[in-house]
Amino acid sequence: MLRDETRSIQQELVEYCRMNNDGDIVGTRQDRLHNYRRLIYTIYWEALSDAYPIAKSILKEEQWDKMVDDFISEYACNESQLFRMPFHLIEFAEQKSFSEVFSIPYLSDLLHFEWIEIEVHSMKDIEETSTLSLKSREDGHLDFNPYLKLIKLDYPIHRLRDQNIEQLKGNYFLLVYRQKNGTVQYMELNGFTANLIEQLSLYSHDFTFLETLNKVFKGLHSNLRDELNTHAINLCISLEEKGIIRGFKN
Amino acid sequence: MKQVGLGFRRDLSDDLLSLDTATQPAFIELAPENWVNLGGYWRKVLKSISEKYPITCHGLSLSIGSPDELNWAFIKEVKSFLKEYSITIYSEHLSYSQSNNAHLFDLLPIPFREDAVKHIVERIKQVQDYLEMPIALENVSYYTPVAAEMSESEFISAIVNESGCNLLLDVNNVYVNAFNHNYNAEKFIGQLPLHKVSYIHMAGHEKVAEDLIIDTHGQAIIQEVYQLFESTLERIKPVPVLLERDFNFPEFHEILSEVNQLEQIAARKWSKKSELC
Ligand SMILES: [Fe+2]
Repeated sequence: MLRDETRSIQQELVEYCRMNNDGDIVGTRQDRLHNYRRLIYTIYWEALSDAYPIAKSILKEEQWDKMVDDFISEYACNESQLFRMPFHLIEFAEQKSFSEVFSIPYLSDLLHFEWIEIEVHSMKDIEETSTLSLKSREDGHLDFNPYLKLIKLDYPIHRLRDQNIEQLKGNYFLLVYRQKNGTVQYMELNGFTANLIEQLSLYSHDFTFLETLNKVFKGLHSNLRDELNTHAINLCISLEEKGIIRGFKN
Repeated sequence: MKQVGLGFRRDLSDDLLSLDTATQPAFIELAPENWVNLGGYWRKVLKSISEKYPITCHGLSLSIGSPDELNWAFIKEVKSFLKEYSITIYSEHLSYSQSNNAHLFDLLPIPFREDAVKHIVERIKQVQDYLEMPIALENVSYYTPVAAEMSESEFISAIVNESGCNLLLDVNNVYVNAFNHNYNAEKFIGQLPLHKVSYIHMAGHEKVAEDLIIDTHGQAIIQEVYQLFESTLERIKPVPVLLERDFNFPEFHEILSEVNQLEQIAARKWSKKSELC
C-alpha cells in the first residue's frame, strides 16, 4: 500500500540518521535534519556508556566515539527494547575486531563481562520453588539459583582494577549470580569446578545429586571418586551458603 | 477526582513510592519497552508502583509508521504486560523509529501523504484487533517536514478518523511544532478531531535557536504552553493528563507543583464537564 517512493524516502531518512550521509532527502529542511542525527547519536551514546562504563573509561575518548559511531552506521540493531540494545555491541565489536584495532586484547571479554552483570541483574523473574537445605538430607535434585551465568574469559577482567591483565591471557571462569536482594555477585572458579558446576546444573532436572556425581566421576578409581565426591558435597554446601544453590527441590 | 499523572522515571521511583494518597499523582505512565521481560530489583519497584498507582502505558517502539513489518512478537509481549498489570490505556506515537530492521529509538516524522495514511490506518486496525482495545496515537514533535503532500492536521485527522483510534494530544508538541513550522497552535488544535482526544501530554522544551525548539522533556512547562492547555481543555471532554519529565530533574516538590498546577487548571476547566462537551 505504501508507494515505493514514500518507502524509499522513509528509508533514506533512517539511513541519513545512521550514516550521516549528505541528507539530500526530498521535501526536508536541510538545516534541520541534523537534529535527528544528533538526537539519535546521543541516545545510543548514552545507553552504551551506561552499559559499559569500564570499557568507556579504558578506551580513549575518540576510540569510544568511533565505536559508537560505527555501531550506529554499520550495525542494523534489530531490537525493540533500548535497554537491550547495548548487548548487540558485543557481536559488532567482535565482527570489527576492535580488540585488535584499539590494541586492547581484553576488550571483547570486558564488554561481555559488563553486559553479563546487566543481564543477570535484570533476568526475568521465575516463580520460587520450595527447597530443603542440602544439610537436611543426603540426596535430592539440586535447585540452582535461576539467575546465574557461567562465563569463560581469556583475560581476568575481574582483576582489571589491580593488575595489568594484558599479560595474563589464559582460561578464566566466572560464575555471575543474582542475590535475593537483587544485587549481582561473581565468583571466580577453576576449570575443574566450573565444569563440575555446569554438569551438576545440567543434570539437576533429570538426576539426583548423587546420581549425577556417579555419572560425572564414572570410571575413576574408587579412592579418587570418594575424594571428588567429598569435594563436590563441600562445594555445593558453600554454593548453598552463597545462594547459588537454593537446596534440594522439595 | 484527580486527572493528572506523571511519567515514570527510575530517578523518581523513591519519591513516588513515599508520597501519601493526598499528594500523589493520579496515575503513573510508563513505557512497556522498559519493563517487558525485566526481572530483579526494578521489577520489584514496578510491583510496588503498581500497588500504589493506576498505570497507563505509552510505548516507544511500535513504529506504527514504519515501512517495515509490524513486530508481532513484541506486540504480543506488550499485550501480556498490559494484562499482567491490568492496564487499560495504551498509547503510542504517530511516527516511526526503524527501517530495514535498524532501530533508532527515536521518533522520526512520517511523510504526510495519502499512501502513508492508508498504510498506517491498516496497521492500527491490526494492532487494535490483536490487543482487543483501542489505542491512542500521539501527535509528535518534528523538526522538518518530510516530502509532505498534505498538512499535518489533515494527516492526523485522516488517520484518527479512518482507523477509529484515539488521539493523544500532546499540547507541548503542538506548541513546539507551531513555533518550528510557523503556524498558529490554537488554530491547529481546532483542526484536529477533538472528540477523539482520550489523553493529554504536557511537558517542557528547550529553545536552542531563534527559530528552533527541541522537545526535550527536560525543563518546566512554559507559560505559553499552560495557556494553550487551558484553551484546549475548554474544547474537549475530561481525559487523563500526563506530565512528562524525562531528565534534568529538579527537586521532586517542583515536579509535584507542576502536577498540581495542571490539576488545578483541569479542575477549573472541567468542573462542569463530566459529560461530553
Ligand atoms: Fe508526549
